[in-house]
Amino acid sequence: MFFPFPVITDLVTLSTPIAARRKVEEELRQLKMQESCCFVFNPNQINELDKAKTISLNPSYFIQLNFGERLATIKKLELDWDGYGAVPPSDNIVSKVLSFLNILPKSFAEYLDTEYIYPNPNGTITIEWRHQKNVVSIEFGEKTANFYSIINQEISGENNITDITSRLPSNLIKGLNQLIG
Amino acid sequence: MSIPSQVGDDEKIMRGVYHPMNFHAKKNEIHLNLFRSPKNKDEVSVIRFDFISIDEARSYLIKHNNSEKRRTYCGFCILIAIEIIQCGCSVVSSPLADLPQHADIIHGYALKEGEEAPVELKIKWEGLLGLVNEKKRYFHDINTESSMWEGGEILINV
Repeated sequence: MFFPFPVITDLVTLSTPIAARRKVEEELRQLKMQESCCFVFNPNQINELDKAKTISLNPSYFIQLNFGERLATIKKLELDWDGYGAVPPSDNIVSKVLSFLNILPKSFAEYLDTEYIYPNPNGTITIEWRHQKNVVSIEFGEKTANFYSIINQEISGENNITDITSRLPSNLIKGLNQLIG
Repeated sequence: MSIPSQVGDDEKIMRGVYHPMNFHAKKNEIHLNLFRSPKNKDEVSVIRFDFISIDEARSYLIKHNNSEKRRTYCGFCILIAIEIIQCGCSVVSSPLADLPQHADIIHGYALKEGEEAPVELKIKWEGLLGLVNEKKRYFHDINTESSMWEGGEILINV
């Protein structure tokens, strides 16, 4: 397949969006490029890249594409998907996660590894950011959600959040800022 | 060897790890849900490692491979019973017909369908996961096709 612009293809070997972004920035410096660069996070999934969108120097665009793919995979799960009677997440829960990802600031979304959007055996979905011993985690249930963070051994969290798809709890934002920053 | 009905504080407790359900291969990291019970249950299956050979235990874990269901055996973790208790959980003997060394980690909470795990419960799982990571208690199986463990001596950092 021919791309009329440089393609950085080895990002798939990098373990985290942070590492991938650094690689992109480094490549850009070396190429002295300001535009017309394509960020390929998974070369196996290249079909028709939209050149107009790839001109923008915004790695989160591709990360967000992967969020959609990841959720589509989760949505396809069938009853007993783990061999121990696991239930698939309901449409309601998948929809909540999508809504949450839509209001998630790009600065946080960029650092979310799609593998860390995962289904649980009782039909909920977890989104997690992990770096060394620090973690920020959100779990979406049928009625409510919860989150917790462990940053430098300090624990913070909240149960039974009803409006996480319209309002990011301040402690969640604080935790993510500390983890990413 | 007779197996006491009560799990001793200093017993080694083994938990099988399956990919991708419990293991993030790209990052070489254990998932938090390694310690999550099935829905409506409060039991995480483990093996009392002091009463079984490594090959026998491994053979049992491999027998429960189910690649079509996101469960491909890739290794195991070992914790000490007292460490599990210190994380706010307990370990109870629950012998099975084909595995008398079987036990369960109990968290004190069974999750219903569609119910997110309360933060307090997840902090317990984080404690267990932290032990695995900090004390390097995950033992990756370098040859899952072999009938014998080829990873050398199991050294437990206390």
